[in-house]
Amino acid sequence: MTGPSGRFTLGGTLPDAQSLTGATSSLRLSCQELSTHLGVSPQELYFVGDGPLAHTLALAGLPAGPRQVSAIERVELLAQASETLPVSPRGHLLESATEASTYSLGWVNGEIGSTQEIDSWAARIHQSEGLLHSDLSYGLGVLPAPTGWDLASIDARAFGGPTLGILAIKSRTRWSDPLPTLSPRYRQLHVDERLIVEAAAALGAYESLAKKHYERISEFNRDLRAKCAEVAHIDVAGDPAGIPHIITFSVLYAQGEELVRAFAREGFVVASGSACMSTNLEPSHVLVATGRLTHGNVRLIVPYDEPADSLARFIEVLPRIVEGVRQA
Amino acid sequence: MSTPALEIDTSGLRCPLPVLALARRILEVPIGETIAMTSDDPAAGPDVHAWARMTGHTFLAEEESGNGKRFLVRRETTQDLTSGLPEGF
Repeated sequence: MTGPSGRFTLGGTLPDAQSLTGATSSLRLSCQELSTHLGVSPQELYFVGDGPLAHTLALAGLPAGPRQVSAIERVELLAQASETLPVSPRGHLLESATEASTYSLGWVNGEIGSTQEIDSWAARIHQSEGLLHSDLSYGLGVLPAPTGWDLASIDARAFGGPTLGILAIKSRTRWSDPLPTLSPRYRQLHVDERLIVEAAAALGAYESLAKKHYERISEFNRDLRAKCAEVAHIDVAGDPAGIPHIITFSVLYAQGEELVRAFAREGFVVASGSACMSTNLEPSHVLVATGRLTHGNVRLIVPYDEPADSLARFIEVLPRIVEGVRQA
Repeated sequence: MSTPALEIDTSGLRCPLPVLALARRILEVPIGETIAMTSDDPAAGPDVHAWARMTGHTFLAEEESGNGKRFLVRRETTQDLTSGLPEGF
């Protein structure tokens, strides 16, 4: 399905926020599926145009006060930080989080794959009467979702869904609508109904694929890390215990753009967090915050159904590509 | 801090060229001595740190310098990590 063709209006009547009785059965079912994944009730879900907007609104709707954001979060969250919290080289939060403040800490980092212990952080944060926001985009469908957070934002594209932002706001959380039309009464008006249905279907499909191929992709992750250690001077970011399908590494003395092109010539689509690949010539803030080499960076987000021979070939061509680009 | 044995300016060069220049030119400095590199590449700071960690040299300090920064690194090892790489620096 392609993007929204227009606004969803439920045949001219507004949905009843509490029961979704005005909604079609497929929409109701989809909201239920999504809420089950997130461990909330359908009434605690809100849908907006895209992931970045969901991240923005999540923090913007909380009561005024300090916002402590981990240094590897999305820029939409860091832009609202009163304080940026440092992380370890493997991407784990270092602070003890003992203030009655709002914390924003993502579950799985979309760039380096490191995972945070969200539930144990939530317990600590709640003990000091703080509040936890979590970006849950990248672990959904792969790992059992944490539940201790107070509000969460999700980019549906992370699990192969459409351009859609999802907000999950626990009813206990004091959050008020930063946009006049985001109240429960109007909440579906921001997006096309079909996108919500499509997102739920995508998450279901992604979950079955991830379940089926998790071990295989984990093995690829281990093999790729081992190969990177074998080829001299490759700095692998993230955490070997992180989510298996997100792997980022930097090749010393190589240019990120050249690496991306070289992999493309072999049929592999990879991204890069190097400055030469960014519009503002700044390197990825995630690589900087974790102290990684920023040039020669390659970022892989591996589909769980990527064929075995293609994964094997990636590892096989890696040394040759690295050598070629370093000497180019 | 003692005066650097060698001072290089990589202003105008973008990643990975500043670090590549540093890797080449540090070989002109005796082990235990310091090289200073000036760069206006926003990626140079994190990269010089990471490069020193990966190659075993010691990152000593960084300071503001004109439009960019000046980095001080002490040479620790004899290995020539740049052999086989393009000429030009």
